[in-house]
Amino acid sequence: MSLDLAFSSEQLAVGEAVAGFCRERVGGAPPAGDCPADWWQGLAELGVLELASPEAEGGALEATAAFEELGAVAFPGPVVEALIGGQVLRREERAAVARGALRVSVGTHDLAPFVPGCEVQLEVSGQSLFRAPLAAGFESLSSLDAEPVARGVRTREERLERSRAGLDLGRLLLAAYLVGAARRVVALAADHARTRTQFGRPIGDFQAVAHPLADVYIGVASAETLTHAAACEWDERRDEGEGPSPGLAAAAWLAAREAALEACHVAHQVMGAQGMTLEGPLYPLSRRIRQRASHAIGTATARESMVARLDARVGESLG
Amino acid sequence: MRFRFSEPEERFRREVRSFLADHRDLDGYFRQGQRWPAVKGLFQEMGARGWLSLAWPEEDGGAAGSPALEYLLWDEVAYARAARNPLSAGIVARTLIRHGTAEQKRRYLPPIRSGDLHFALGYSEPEAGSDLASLRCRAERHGEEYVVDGHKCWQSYAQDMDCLWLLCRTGEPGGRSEGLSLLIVDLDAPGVGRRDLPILDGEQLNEIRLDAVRVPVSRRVGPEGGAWKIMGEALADERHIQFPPGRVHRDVEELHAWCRNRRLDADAGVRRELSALAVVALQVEMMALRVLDAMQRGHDATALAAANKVLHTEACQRIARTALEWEGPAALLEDARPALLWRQSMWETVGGGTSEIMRGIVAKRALGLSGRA
Amino acid sequence: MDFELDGEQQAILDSVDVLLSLRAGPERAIALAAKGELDHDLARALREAGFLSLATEVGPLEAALLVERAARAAAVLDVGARALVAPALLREVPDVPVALVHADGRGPVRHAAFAGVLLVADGAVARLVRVEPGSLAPVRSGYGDPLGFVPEALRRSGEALGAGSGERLLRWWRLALALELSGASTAALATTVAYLKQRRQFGRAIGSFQAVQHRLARCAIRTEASRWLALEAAHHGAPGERVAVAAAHAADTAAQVFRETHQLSGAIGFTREHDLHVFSMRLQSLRLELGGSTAHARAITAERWAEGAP
Repeated sequence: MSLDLAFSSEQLAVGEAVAGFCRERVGGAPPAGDCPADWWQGLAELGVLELASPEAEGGALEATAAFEELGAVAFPGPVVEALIGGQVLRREERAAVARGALRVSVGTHDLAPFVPGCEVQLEVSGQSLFRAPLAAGFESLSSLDAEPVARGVRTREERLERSRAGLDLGRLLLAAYLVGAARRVVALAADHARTRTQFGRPIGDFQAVAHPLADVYIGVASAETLTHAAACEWDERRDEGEGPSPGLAAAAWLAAREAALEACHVAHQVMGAQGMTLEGPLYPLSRRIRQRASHAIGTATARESMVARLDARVGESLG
Repeated sequence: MRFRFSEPEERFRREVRSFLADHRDLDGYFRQGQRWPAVKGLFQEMGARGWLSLAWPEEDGGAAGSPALEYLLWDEVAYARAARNPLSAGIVARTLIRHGTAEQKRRYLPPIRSGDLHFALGYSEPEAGSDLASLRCRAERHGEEYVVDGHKCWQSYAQDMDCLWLLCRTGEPGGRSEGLSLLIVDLDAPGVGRRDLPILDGEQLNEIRLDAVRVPVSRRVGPEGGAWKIMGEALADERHIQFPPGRVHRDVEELHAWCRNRRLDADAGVRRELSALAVVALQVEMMALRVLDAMQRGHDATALAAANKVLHTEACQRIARTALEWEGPAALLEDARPALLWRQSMWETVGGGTSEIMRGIVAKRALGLSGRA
Repeated sequence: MDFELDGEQQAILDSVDVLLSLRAGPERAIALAAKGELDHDLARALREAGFLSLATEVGPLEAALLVERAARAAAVLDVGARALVAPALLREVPDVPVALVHADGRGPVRHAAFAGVLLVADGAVARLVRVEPGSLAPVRSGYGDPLGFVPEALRRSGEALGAGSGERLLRWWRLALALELSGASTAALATTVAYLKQRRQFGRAIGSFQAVQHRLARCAIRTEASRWLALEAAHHGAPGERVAVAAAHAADTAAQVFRETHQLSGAIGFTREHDLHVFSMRLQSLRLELGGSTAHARAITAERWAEGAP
């Protein structure tokens, strides 16, 4: 078997099921704030919340197909975190996550997104995940896209096994989500450029508009393929029992972040005032892209792992 | 979905790698003009192994191999900095295979396959660089001959080549893409004049004047006035071997090794840029794989190939620029690797269709934007 | 605030321009570069007209105007070092070429192979090193200005010019660089604009495409800003923060101007027959001098936020 960059029919089916669900529930304008309970239940019923866990049939590729669709509608709530939980939590907790009965927060040393509202509170630090709930009396805040965030003092209870696998999966699912969202952003801006006229012609006739859009299309397309490669790698290593290592997932996450942020920047410039309305379609997407790009997983560890990867490659190829 | 090549393909890659181990110092990727005899020797050795005709049909002397094999071959050759894929075994041969007469195939394909016969591309003109449809070079038909007059420029390596793959106008002047034909012209034919222009990377470009050059009608490839479509097909056949990502990986690895040697890699700013470049190199590779995958499926890869060129060539420039900025004036010395990479990569976003033309193709094909104004 | 030149400044500038239009320019720069020569004739003409002593006799702003104009005219000469930097450190302006050297620098040094005086920045002090012109090894240069190597021993020798002289040398050197970068950027851009106005593609002048205009406009805005920042720093006597800002801005601008002018000029810009390379290659060496934009940016930080700074 040679190179094959297409999703399998099973993976496509997962993506289509999620897309259908999103069309039906979310419609055109994704809401600010946390995920409504019935949407969360819907995701659980679709099997999305258990993807890539030891119990699931589908792996990272199926999850990637699903998360690209979730990104395209800027789906709310801690969905990436649920799948991280599927890697690092105990079996009975994983089952509860898969049913939609238990939600997971992944935050920094003092910020816990989606809390209150998440029974499991994890802290990320470098390549480690800790079970580290906030002490009572935390402060309730709200993020850029009106998601709840709590700020307080954590108590580290344990470092979780499979932290690396969980974080790698998290990076690649954030990448998939951002790629899906960014593709939609580029499509919206291109659509606007084709239909909006100025000086008697569509603004997309001007190279000054068309070329930046071509650039962000290229950035998003290459990040998309890198994300798929990372998902393939993750699945292969899971099947081979090696356990994921930092590598392509980190690259996918860094590439997708950059591409999605740049896509928003260009799309806002192209769409002008139309991009600024709260009703959308652009602003709710770009706001959530900004939010996910600032995820607690951060970029420092991913960047260091890219340099480490180079170290290894140079050692290998040039002696 | 699978991001790996098959076992036979990987075996071939290893074979190419061990072959190239003997050609490590060739440096013909950047300096074909200065290294021509050695580069030609490499092509002849590759020809003897059947590697210049990997994907040609068997009846034309090829191995009917997959595009993946060609991709792997030229990716390894690029990584080794040994050479770029030759025009002759690429678009010239592919066009002859599709459109050549039996006599043309008999005459040209065997020496091309063996690496003995080489072509320069005669497309651009002073007033028609990236906009080829406006070219003026004219071939008047007189019985069984064309008489060609015109002025071509920005050719590469014509000083070492045998033939010119000439695009010229056989129809009405000003006919845009209609009325263009392809002719094979011997570069030592009477009336062919060449001038070499040194350029900033130490190589040279050529200017070719054709003054009443007589070309037999039997050297026309394809129908009269039908060149535009033929050129498009040949280009489409070649997309997976243009701009191999191995070159970019090698650039990043050299930059990284060079940083380590100078102990720059402890600097936080340097580490950050290195990590970003490592990501960019992977993005470049992904785009190249997408082009290959589309071709293997028989899909149109026009927009992807344009995207690949922009991504690849701009990555090369970013890498080279970074090296210069960290090294300072010592990087300006003519024998310093960063200076060569920098001078060379400047050309990449201009030659073979500028980044602007490529962005226009992406905008039009992938996003439906005309970008004409 | 006053952005207009006064009558005397205008008169100086006019006669500088006349002299440069007769005795400098891209064609002459190409010929000199081919021989690896410094423009001794131009030096003599500038000296005889009194322009090399503008800094001491009129003021640093006037000398700065000269340096910027000379770079625009592709003068192959140490105008910045001789007319602006040396007068800030030496009582008498040397009538031999002056090269500016960093004691810790490893790379080639502009004009060193012709220099009679080296001004070496060595930590807290500057040193004056006299050398026999032509005694230092030349380095082949593709960057317009002839280059040379200054051996380690020489970089550590010479007469120290007193407390604070090291820092003073760096400040005026940065200013000269900013002016030369701004002059060469302006000329590279002008060369490109002239070419794009007449060059046609798809049936129209390339310069008429909006995207091309936007890119050139961005370069023009930054180039103008570079010039004013540098002239303002000269007017104030080259204070550390202002010269670092001017140099950082000018170096970043040069990188952008280099990319855009070459990309938009296409193949002809890569040949040595077109004037662009005369300015663009010089931009490349100037923007790397003295540590390039990263070092200039660090100097800004050091000036503004250093411990003990107000």
